[in-house]
Amino acid sequence: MTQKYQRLMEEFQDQVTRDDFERSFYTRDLASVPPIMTRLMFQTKPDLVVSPLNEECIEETMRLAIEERLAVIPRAGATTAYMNTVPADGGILIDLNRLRGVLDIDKENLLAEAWSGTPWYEVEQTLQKNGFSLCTYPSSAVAATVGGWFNTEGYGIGSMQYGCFHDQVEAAQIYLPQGKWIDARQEGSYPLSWFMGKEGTLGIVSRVRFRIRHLPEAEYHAALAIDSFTQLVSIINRLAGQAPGAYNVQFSDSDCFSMQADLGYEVPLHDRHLVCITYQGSAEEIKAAKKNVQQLAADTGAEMMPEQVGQEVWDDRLYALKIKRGGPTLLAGEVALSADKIPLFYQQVKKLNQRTAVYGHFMGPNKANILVQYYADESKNIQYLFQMAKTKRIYDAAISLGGRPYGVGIWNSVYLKRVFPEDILRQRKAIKQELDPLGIMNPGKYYSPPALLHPVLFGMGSGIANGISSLVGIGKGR
Amino acid sequence: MQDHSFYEGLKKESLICAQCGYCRVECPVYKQIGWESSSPRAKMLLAGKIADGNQINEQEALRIFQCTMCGRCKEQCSTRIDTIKVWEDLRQEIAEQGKSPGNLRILTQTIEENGNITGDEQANRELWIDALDDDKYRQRIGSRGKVLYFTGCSGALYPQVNSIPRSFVQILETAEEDYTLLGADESCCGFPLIAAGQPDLARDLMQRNLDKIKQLGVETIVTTCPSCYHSWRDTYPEFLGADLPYKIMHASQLINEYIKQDRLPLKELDEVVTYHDPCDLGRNSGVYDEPRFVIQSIPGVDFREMDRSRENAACCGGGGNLEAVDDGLVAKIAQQRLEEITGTGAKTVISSCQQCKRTLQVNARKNKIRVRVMDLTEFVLKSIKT
Repeated sequence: MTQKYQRLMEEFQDQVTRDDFERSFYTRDLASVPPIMTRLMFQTKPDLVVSPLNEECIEETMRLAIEERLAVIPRAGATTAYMNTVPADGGILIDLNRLRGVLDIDKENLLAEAWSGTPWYEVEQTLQKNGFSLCTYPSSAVAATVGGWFNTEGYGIGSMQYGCFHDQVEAAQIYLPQGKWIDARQEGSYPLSWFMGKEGTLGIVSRVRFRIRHLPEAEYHAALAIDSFTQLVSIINRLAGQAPGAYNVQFSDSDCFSMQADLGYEVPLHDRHLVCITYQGSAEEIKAAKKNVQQLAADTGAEMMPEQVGQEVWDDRLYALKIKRGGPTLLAGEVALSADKIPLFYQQVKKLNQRTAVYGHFMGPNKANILVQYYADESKNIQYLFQMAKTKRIYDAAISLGGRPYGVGIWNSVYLKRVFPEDILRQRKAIKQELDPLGIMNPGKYYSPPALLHPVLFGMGSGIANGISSLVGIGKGR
Repeated sequence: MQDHSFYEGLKKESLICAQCGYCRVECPVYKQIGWESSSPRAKMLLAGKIADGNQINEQEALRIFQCTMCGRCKEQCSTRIDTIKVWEDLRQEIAEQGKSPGNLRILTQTIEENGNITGDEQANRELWIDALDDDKYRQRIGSRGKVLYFTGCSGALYPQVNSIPRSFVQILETAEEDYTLLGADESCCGFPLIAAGQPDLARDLMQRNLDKIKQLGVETIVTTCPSCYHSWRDTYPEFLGADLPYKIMHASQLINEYIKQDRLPLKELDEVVTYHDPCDLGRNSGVYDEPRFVIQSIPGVDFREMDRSRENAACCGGGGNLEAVDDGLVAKIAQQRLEEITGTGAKTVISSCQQCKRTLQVNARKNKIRVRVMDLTEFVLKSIKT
């Protein structure tokens, strides 16, 4: 095995490692999965880790992978929880974190280019220094990277106004498993839509060029307390037609705050939900927005909270995991759902026999990305397996209302056939077959579930676990 | 952001860690090494392993000690883990397993045997005074005084930074302060032993220092070393289980008071300067404003802030005993900070820490970077003497 990698190791010495100790830290992402599950189904430790400092290293690594038909797994922040960036069956893991930095700011055309391993937080800092700002960024922007968000769904802070990050991408430099670089654009032989959100299954992205905006002159964060999510729907419906438009709308349910309060954090309220609406723009626009929000509150029966609350919620926007301390494990299901279905989804989630913190962002005027988090304890193995099964109930609730899991990876691949039409899935597989005929790019993810995770078996297993949990109380949550 | 520590022990904190990676984005060690194993979140996985009673190997131990304890990870942590406390406890566990890096074992032994980090005779703690060529300074040793200047091992024993205590006592004299010095009776504050995983030995030194102070009529203890300051202010009460009957100040705070009281005749300095926040003074103790007030009180100074400053300041590489574990890594971290310093256009970087001065100065010379490194006390004295 070492011989196979010899050429690479000689040429890119400090960018390549076979060391067992080093490789052992690439075997997981955010999710804590009991070893009994991962060992049974996967070989999560890569055979080789490459941490490129330049595109030449990517190219040589990919050439070797193609020659030897080795799996290649791209990874950067690894801030997802579906094993998107973890090997399913060994192979070469390309750690892109050292390809970091903003390469160019085109001030005239409002475009920026960054290495794929650059954290969004760093991009924003660089842009702000130059008088510009990102249109959108992920809610894990401190660690999430440009390439990572390109490869995943691309919704986050600012999506209410600017939509999906994918719509802002102008170009991407990608090395294909056919052995060549391409400069993917919105149009052309290799349209960006083929690659964006495909979880690194079609190539290695080294650079991304995307739209930016001028740094807004002013901003305002309105916090509105509400008693039900029906009010949230009224608020979002009214916001849809208003000018100036809201930059970001996020919401947290009362349990988000009660879980924080239990840990000793100061919270703005205990028994109601909170909506935070952010406006960014000219001073004039902010003035108009403030007036609109007053009216919005009056029209929907929401209570305007002090301005400081809105600011604090905004300041905390990248820290949804702060409640994890109460777990110590925090399990979650993240879904995309139509705005009007949120109240029904919320009702079902609250029947989990488990306290859940519900937190979300609007992906536009009609759709929300909702994160449902609940406490578990991974140190209690059997209980933990039953607690994990509850995520299926969250996804079932979303799917029954026309929603879907947000992100696929390995774990959510079991839901693919339930949420996407057959022709879409067939089309995806056809593109995969065309671009990656050897099937070496991030195998085992995104297109179909692994054999041991067959949807029927998975459904039965989870269903039985949830049934037992309800009857006997094992895995009963706090 | 809550200020208090949530710390619940290694096992619990290792489970609480979300593995989100917020900690590693600005980690100076991870930025240089680049492998996931060098990130704070990897260290949290090792913490879990150790907390479960597993022995660790030398490679794992090295990664734990490849850390400047700068606290940047604590600042970023999404689950509010007091990572500094985790690193301290981890180091203690490793020391108990006998797996500490060799140089740290030697450092521990040196401090234990000599009461200081260099292995000098304690009498050498007074050598820096000789160059002042005025007996009035020596007469302060062991005298009664309201303010004790706790010199610290580096300032007293490293010739490269002897100029810091020399500058500070001249400032104290100019301000007509009623101060005292411990001289050879001063022992290491204990901080390097905590970073070496030897809190019990640190506790002994703390008690020794307190015993020496008792009879001097001291009301305030002032240090020029941020690690000594942090120890006296936060660790002594924690370790000894009681509040100290002294006000603890860093030199920058006392000088700031003198300036406000018009006790220092500051004269114009036509210099472009920037300020490097020492981790133990800034991020780990919350003192950001006073050094800046002092610098900006000096007429004629063109002060330029670095992009990464205050709580976001990058470490110089000199903390956490890293020098004893991996001096090559220290040099790389320092190099990056020096690039930021020169990027401001400043010709002088001011810090408030002996170790920062040593680290930045050595590496500026080594890499032929044209920047002058000064301690705040030196800069203030220069203004007084101009």
